[in-house]
Amino acid sequence: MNETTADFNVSNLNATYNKTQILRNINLSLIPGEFVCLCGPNGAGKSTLLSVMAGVPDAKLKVTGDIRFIRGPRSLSLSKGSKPPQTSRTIDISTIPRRDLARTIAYLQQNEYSEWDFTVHDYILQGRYAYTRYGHYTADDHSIVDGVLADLKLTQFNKRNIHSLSGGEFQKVRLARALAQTPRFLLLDEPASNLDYVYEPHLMQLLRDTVHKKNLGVLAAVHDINLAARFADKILLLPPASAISDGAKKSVLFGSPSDIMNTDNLKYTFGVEFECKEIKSFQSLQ
Amino acid sequence: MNKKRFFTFFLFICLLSALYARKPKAADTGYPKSIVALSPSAAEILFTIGAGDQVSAVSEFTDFPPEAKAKPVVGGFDGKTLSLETIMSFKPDLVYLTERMHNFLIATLESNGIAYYVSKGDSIASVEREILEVGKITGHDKEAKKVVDGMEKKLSKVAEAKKGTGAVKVYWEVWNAPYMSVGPSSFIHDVIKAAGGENIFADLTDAYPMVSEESIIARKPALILIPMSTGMEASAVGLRNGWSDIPAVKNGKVFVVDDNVYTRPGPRIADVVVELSALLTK
Amino acid sequence: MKRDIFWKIISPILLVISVILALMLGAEKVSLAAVFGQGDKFENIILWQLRLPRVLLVLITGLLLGGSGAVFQLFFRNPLAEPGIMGISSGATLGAVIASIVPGFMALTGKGGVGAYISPVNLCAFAGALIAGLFVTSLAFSRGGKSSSVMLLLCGTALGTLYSSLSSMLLLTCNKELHSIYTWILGSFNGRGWNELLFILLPSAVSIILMFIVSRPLDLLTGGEKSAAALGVEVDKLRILVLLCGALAVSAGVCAGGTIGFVGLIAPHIVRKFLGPRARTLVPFSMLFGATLLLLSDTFARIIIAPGELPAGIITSILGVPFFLALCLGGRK
Repeated sequence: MNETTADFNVSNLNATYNKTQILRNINLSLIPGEFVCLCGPNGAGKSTLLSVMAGVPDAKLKVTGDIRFIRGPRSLSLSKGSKPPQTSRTIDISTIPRRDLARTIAYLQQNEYSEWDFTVHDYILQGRYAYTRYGHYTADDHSIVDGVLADLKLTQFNKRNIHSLSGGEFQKVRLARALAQTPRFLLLDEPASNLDYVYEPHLMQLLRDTVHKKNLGVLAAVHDINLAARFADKILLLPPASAISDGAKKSVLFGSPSDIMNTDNLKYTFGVEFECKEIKSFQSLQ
Repeated sequence: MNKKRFFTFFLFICLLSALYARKPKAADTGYPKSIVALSPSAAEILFTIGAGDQVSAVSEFTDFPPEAKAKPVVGGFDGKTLSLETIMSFKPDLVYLTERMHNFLIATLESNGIAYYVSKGDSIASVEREILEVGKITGHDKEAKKVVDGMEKKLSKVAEAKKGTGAVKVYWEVWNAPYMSVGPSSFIHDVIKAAGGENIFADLTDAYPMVSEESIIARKPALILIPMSTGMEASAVGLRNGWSDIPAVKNGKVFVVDDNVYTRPGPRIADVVVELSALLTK
Repeated sequence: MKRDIFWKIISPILLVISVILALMLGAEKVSLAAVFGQGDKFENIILWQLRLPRVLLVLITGLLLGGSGAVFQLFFRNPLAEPGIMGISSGATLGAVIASIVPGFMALTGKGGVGAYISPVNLCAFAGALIAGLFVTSLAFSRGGKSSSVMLLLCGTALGTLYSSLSSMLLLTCNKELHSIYTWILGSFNGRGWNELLFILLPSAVSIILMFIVSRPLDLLTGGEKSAAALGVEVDKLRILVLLCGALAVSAGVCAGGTIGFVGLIAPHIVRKFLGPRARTLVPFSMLFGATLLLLSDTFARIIIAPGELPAGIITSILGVPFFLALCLGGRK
């Protein structure tokens, strides 16, 4: 991977579903190497935002706005034979073929199960599909899968049947598959939603480490704002579209936790009173 | 018979007709005047024995004799689209039905006290019996007897002619995709037998079995009969893969026959037997 | 792993055995020697003019039904899916019924032309299946390629019910005793041969090629279409290919043997139990298994009441279903 990498940029994004506005005027930029947590009340449109950014919005959603990668086609790994990108320094993601997009963005939906009982290895291998010619997986692909398993400490699960895994184990396997795509950006919708209390901070730490080690840009919707505040480089607060009157206020609040997390902003986003305390050190829960 | 008695008798008949005959079988209070014939063979029998003007309605596909065609139609003869209401609208005093296809009507007819006659039509002998019975019921026994005698004469002539000769193996093709033929319980089987033929599938039990193409070839029929209603041409049969060595094909004895008449269990069947026996010996 | 290999080797062997059995057995006796070339004239006619084309037809139909069943189950993530659910089989039946009933059509039967004629019933069934299939596939295009698979399934099922009702209505009002069409509906290869084989060669080939093409991305649908898209699959294009594959498979299948049920449903399940769910094994081995299953069924149908025959479709239901139940109940996941 090149060191000079592109930003994932969203501007003026609006999304409506059956005349109801879900996303209003979203502007944000995701930078490789940053772990960003997306927080907001239920119904604010977090899942919608992630799916739109991933290029897989709901079919009935009407989306306007701009989603693009900025700063250089050289930095994107495009498959052989795909159209040479525009000479300008931005690429609209709607112009990128699926396979190429899958090499750049990995997206995890909130809750997903697998209909068929593959082995863990085969399941993660699916993440390499976008790199294959005619669906044939190479030795390289297999070793990348092994590498990801090792990174996430899942090697012993290699031959296990995914239907035999616990919720938390499967979640990690899903993450492994996303990482197997060797993407630049990860879009995660509540990655800790199925996990025990104990697991959640583990996962968040894991994400944080992976982000920095592999220089990924991660946008993860997280339910627990305390966790978000603890682990994220940046926080994205997303109030519901209905709460924002046109123009008057910001549609997203973006910044580092210390900047963003104050009672005013949180009240604006969530609509309820919060109490903010700063805690210097943490201990893991029993 | 004096006038008073005649008048009483006449009144008696009127009363009874007004109240509907209660007896399920053929009424003994006079001959039926409003017969509904539910199959083409039924209508044909009635008209041939002279009971035509006692018929008030016929089924679809009734086409012989021509006078029968003029009668109002009560529905399809296979029973699927028959409605009892339509039958009743003709106020029948006798419903002439076929055992195989109209059995389901019997219970309702009985409970409504309507007389009915069940035709079996599974062999030539039963057809002759039927003609005589219907003749008795409709008051035309003399004509019925004449018809049956005529049939018998033709049939015995054929039997006489074929005495001493072996039966000719016959294949009657009901359909070709899948191959379907006839078994001994079918009417045409009996017709073939009477004409001096032997149905190559006489060993099967179904009336209309699906048969193996291999067996058709292995049983070497000397005569192949194709019903006209299939639309198949005789020449096409010989072109079938593997059929060229069949005796019937080699000797050009593949014929298309009018199944409308050949399979109708009615008075013309004797003529069919004569025609068929001619084909067999050609 | 060893079990995998065992089944991978045994499947084609089973198929070859079924082919040999199908050639050897039938209403008329044919010696084993004749199968290998030493037979008398009569045996040769039976074997090479009658049984061989039929065996090939059954084989191809089995391949098509097994393979397309696997493809549909994988794409729709539904263990009960098979191409017939899109209303394609009902469309085939409607075509066959129309051909049997409309008087003009039957006149076409007679036109012999060596090697060029196929019963209009089969032709119309093929057309009916194809039209029904293409119609449903076109629905996939209707919303700019963004239709949902669920909607397609619903439409297909609804249309299928419509075609069935039309068929029933036509049969009811036609007033002739059509034993043949009832047998046809139950599914039989009786009377089919080289003509049908040549006719279905092209659609079969295309369908099978499509099966292999779609095998590659099919696995990725296990988490849903969104998930597959995020992994790089062009789901809308895939959907169209899958539907086309199914439409061609069923159309060719009905032309060959009428509407045969259960093979497309059962074969993938059996294969999945022994070889796992990966599309790249499931699809080809479902093809092999479907062919084996159908060959055995047709052979059985031909010998059980010889010289009479049963419709092979009855056999697949009667034999297939209990076997299938035993498989399901014998090992829950």
